[in-house]
Amino acid sequence: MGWERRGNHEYYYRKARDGSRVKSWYVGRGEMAHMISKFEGSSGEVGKLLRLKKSIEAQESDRIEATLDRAVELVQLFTEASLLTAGFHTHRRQWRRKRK
Amino acid sequence: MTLDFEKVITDKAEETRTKFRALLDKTNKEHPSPKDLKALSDLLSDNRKLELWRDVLSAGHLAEIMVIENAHATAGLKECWKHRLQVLKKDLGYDGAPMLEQLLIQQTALCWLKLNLVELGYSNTMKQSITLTLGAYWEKRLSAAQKRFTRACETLARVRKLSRNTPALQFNIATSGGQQVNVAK
Repeated sequence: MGWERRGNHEYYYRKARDGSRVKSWYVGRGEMAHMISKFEGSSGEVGKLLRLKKSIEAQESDRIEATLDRAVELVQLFTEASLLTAGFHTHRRQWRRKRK
Repeated sequence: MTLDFEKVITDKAEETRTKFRALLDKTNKEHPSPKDLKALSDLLSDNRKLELWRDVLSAGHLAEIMVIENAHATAGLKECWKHRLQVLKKDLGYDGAPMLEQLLIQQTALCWLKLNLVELGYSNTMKQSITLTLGAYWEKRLSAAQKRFTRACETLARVRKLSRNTPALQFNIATSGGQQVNVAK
């Protein structure tokens, strides 16, 4: 987005990348263009806030999944401990009863 | 739920995990030392207050609360999920199952719920136009949830199969308010 001076006046243009080129679209000049530019400037801030919110949500999801993984691992450890004390052991990742 | 409550449970779970991991590494072989095996057995069942079992159960309950409460859903829907979890546990034979199986049933039901929630999030995300990074992130989450659920089912099935002819696996420990303390050895 930007203001460009042409002659004695400033004009507001909207910019967007199209492949390797940057294209400009004329928006306007005067009070209306100032209002539009203010709104468009704020939408960047809104975008930033939305990205921040998403990143916080992702962190929260990761925290919950870490707690779940810990709980799952603990149950797995208990299961293994129970099997071992009951006379089993693993052989090539397969549980077998101890030979007598 | 306060953060402290969560921290206490996760710290305890971590402590228990470390103790078990050390002993399991020593005993998981064909001819383990009787001394190590006894230490593991003591850790499992001779603890008078059975605090370790409670730590594991608490960690499971905490995970259950966190998964449900932090899901993006209405309070009514969350209540439905809680109810559905209870029904699922019952269907899997939770009531009357030995302690070890109860832990595994709780885990399987929770992993099933989490998988459903992740699948829901995944399909909602994929409806929109998303970045490659976000897509990869959801793929990773979905794959982890599927793996977790499959592993939980496999463990439950394995323990059920192995415990058919092994009474030593029939741990049955009273919950608070109950009377029975029967640890088969």
